[in-house]
Amino acid sequence: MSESKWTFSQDFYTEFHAKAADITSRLDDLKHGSPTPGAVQAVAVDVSRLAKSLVEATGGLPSYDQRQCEMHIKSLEMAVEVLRGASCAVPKFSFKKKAAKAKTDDPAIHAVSIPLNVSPVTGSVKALSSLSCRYLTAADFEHRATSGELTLSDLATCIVNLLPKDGHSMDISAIHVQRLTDCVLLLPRISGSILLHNLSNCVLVAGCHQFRMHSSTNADVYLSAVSNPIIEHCSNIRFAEYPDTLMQNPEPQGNTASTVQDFSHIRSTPSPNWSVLPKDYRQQCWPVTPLEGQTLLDELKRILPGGDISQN
Amino acid sequence: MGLLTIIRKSRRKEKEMRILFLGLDNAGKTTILKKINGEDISSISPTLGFNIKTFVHRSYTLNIWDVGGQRTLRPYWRNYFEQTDAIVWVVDSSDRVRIQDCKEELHNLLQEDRLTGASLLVFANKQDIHGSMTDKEIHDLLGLSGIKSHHWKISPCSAVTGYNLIAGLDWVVEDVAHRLYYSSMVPDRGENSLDTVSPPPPQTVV
Repeated sequence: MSESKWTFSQDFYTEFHAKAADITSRLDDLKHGSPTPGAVQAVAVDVSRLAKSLVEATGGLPSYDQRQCEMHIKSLEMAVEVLRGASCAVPKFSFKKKAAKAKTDDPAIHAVSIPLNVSPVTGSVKALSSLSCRYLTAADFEHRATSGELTLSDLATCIVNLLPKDGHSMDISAIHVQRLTDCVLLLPRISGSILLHNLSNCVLVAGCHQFRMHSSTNADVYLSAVSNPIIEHCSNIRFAEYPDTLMQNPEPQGNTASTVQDFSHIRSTPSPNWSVLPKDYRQQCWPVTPLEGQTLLDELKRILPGGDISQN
Repeated sequence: MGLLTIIRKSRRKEKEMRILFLGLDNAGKTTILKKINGEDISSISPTLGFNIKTFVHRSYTLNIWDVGGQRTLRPYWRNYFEQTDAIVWVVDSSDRVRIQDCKEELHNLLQEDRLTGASLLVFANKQDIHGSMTDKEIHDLLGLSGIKSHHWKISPCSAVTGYNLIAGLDWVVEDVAHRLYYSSMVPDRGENSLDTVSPPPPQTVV
């Protein structure tokens, strides 16, 4: 590849991503606010402008870049379409499912009305998903006796306590967590890795070999990890050590909190996306016994970093 | 003497191979490499950037590039494509949630011109974890039977126990060696297949 072509492709790549990031953030704003057709249209125009610039650059880019950019455009276009749907109030679109659950004012009734959904995966996988206002323990899993992989997804205003109890511990070697809002997770120390996506306003106690957290905001993490924990596309994450009071076999632990790496901030300056949780703000009293109804909500309000439960 | 002959001759002298380890984050790429090398695997951090390992295996010098799989790092994979003889695509068999993601990334990768002709080994890692997907399941979920552009194979393995790692690497080395150094000899060797240890009966080849 000639020098000028190379420079061009590098420049284009940088510029493209800057513009795409700008559009993404505007889309996010619209998503969270109430999108007006005008605002959505303005974004749509910018997306098509970006698409045009990509078409014009055809031939000057390596094919892999070209494809990556095209895919990026496609995802932006889809996001715009979704917003268009929302702003015109087309009834077809409803991603209010989870939000509607959290809105219910009477948590006691709610707790009864939602059946335990074990996600439709085969094998002896442990999975909990789509629940709200619950205190969950190992007893809520179907495959208590087996060991292996654990999946938690789509939970709102829940406390999940999987700490060993009466000598019974779950033998877990990998944990996958997705889409949790206003939740407290008390997890034992496991030998494998923990992978989390899309948490907001959560408190997490965990011990593991590798820790990865993606696309999450406002979370307090009490962690014991033997390798460097990492975050990516996160903001406002606070780290502290695994609480001594919850530890089964207290062992000396490294200073996990100071070794966090932020993959969205690979620079020499400190990452603005995480901090060490100040000692005074650390939880001393953990909800290790089952709670329900209003006491569950009160306990969540006390512990969660947001101090409140989102009502949207 | 044609250009191809010259290239072949020079490469035969060096007997080198360049192998790229890719896959989503948390797949176990670095752990596999360290295990093969007999290094400590108890405190491996997620890879920020890349690792290079060079070692001799079956009389070939392998240059293995292990590139981080975090989402923010994936755009940089393209910087490592040049002159790649083989891709080892590592899959976390316990991660059902992201298997679709994994499929998309793999198929995107295979469209890349600079990877044309490279052998592809899919490692279905973490078989030690109870309830993990089998190699057969992963074969189906990743749509491997649709891959016609590359010579491929899927092997179940475990980086923690070391199960099947060497056998997988053997296949890679053999496949690349046949192509680079003996390609004029036997054109019709091993089919794309599911099984590593022994050649499967025809009906298991999907």
